[in-house]
Amino acid sequence: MKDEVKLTHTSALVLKVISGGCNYGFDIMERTGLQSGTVYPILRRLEESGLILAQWEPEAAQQLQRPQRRYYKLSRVGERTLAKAAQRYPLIQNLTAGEEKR
Amino acid sequence: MNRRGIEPYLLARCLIRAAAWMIPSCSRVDWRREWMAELHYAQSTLAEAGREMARGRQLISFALGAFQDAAWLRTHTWSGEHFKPAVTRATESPSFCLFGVGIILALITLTSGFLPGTRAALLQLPYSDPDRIATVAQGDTTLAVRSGIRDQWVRWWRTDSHLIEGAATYFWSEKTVDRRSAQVATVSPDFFPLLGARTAERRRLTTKYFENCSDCVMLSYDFWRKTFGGKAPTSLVMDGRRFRVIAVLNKDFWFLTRRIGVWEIGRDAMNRNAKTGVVIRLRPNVTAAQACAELASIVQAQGVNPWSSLIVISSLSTRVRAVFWSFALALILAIGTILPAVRVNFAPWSTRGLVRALFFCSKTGLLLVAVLLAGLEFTRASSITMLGGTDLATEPLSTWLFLLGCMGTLTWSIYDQRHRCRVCLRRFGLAAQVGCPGCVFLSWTGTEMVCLEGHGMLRVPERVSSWQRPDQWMSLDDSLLELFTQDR
Repeated sequence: MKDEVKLTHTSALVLKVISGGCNYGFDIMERTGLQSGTVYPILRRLEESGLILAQWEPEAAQQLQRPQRRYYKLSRVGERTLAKAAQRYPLIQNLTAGEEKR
Repeated sequence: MNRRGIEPYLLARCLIRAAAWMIPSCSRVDWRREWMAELHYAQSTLAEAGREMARGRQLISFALGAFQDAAWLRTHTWSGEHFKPAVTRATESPSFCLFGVGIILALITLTSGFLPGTRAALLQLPYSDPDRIATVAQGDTTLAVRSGIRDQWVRWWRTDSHLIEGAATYFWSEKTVDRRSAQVATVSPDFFPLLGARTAERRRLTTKYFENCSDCVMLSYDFWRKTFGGKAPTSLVMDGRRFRVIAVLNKDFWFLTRRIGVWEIGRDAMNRNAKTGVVIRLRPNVTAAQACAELASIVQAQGVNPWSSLIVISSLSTRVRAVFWSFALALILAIGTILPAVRVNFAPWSTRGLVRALFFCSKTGLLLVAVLLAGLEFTRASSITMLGGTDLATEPLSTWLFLLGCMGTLTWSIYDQRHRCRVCLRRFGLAAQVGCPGCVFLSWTGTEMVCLEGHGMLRVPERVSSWQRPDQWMSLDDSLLELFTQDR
């Protein structure tokens, strides 16, 4: 059922960026140029649809004297959905090409 | 970190904290934690990138996005998908059950005008020496029937009786008072002096008050406040005739019913054939039985046959409070009928059993109180006839209604208790029909309900038979709790 999730262009873009290695909300904003008020609700929706998985950074991050961040990664369903979305929105591939994991 | 950088950062933190109030409390901490971490990272990233000039504006812009995120989460939470289960979950809790019963009690209190009937039955009657005040009614072949007394009998009693200090008459009807409908009692001039009633100014009403009093009326306190706004009128028009208002009665005064607004002093209210309500004041140390015998003998001495001269004297205090006894009898009957059917094992010696027993007793007790109050306030009012007596139907009707109410309350309370988890007292959910109803003698068939907290399962057979228990409670192993945590 979750394979049939219809993504908007923006959601597909966010999903593509996450698949490229951007795991945090602010990183996604920086990469896509979208506002925080757009990115975070999309992340919630994608997480609820089971396309991405969210986790807190390991406790070890606290040793770096900064708060733990919540990072996102694609689920298997998300990967399949992204593959279908790439066919629907071919420009997304071009928009993020060469900017895969820095 | 310079001063210019700190201020937008702190402002952004404040904005995120403000936005967090829109988030449901169950996920607020995690949400704020994520946004604070992202803000911290954004602030560091912008500082490292040397974008000092734009940093403040970007941090504020970033933090403002928290409101959009929070609004999305809030609206999403309130959507039917999440709202309905949340409401369902709340209604399953034992506290909601008690809250619902409390609402019923509050509604009865409000709609009845703060329980006037109950208060009147519990407080002392507003008369002088009220224990000596009694009503007289003519009995009939059935004890339930109470009818009025012939006017001629009252005159005989006034002149011949040695055991009563006086007898006053009353009857009430609906009349038009100043172009609005009101309950009007027509009473004899000695009615108020006999009761020892007082005016709103606390003056005792004596017989002198009513000398040379033609076309006079007294007003009940509540009627006076509602109709005349607290201003004392000198006269009023009733059914086209003008009457002089001589006084307003004391706030606490009432007689048999609180609905009487106007008290007409009627010298010509009685005629020989009319039947009327009668109230008497017994002499000190005279019992109702002694007075009853004397009054009956006076009537018989005038030639009335003994069968027709059956009279019943009821102390007003006893009569007002007798309602509790009839309701107590109905309650005992209801409990006695229901108890054999109770199959709930409370096991009050364990902590959980004690909590279950307390919940059951609280729920049932409050519901029975609600039925009692509703009976006192709403059904007893109809059981008093225009002459202050009772007729064949209404008095038993109110008691029967109360009895049925008790039975219904106890039945529902036990049913509700059986369909609650033996551990957390929440109502069961996920009812599922198991087996084939047509194969009831070959295999088990019935309904299975599960505690959504994962404490256990209740199996209720389709039909109760001698070879299986009516209800079967199965505790679930703790290892199965994970299956239920996702639904919480």
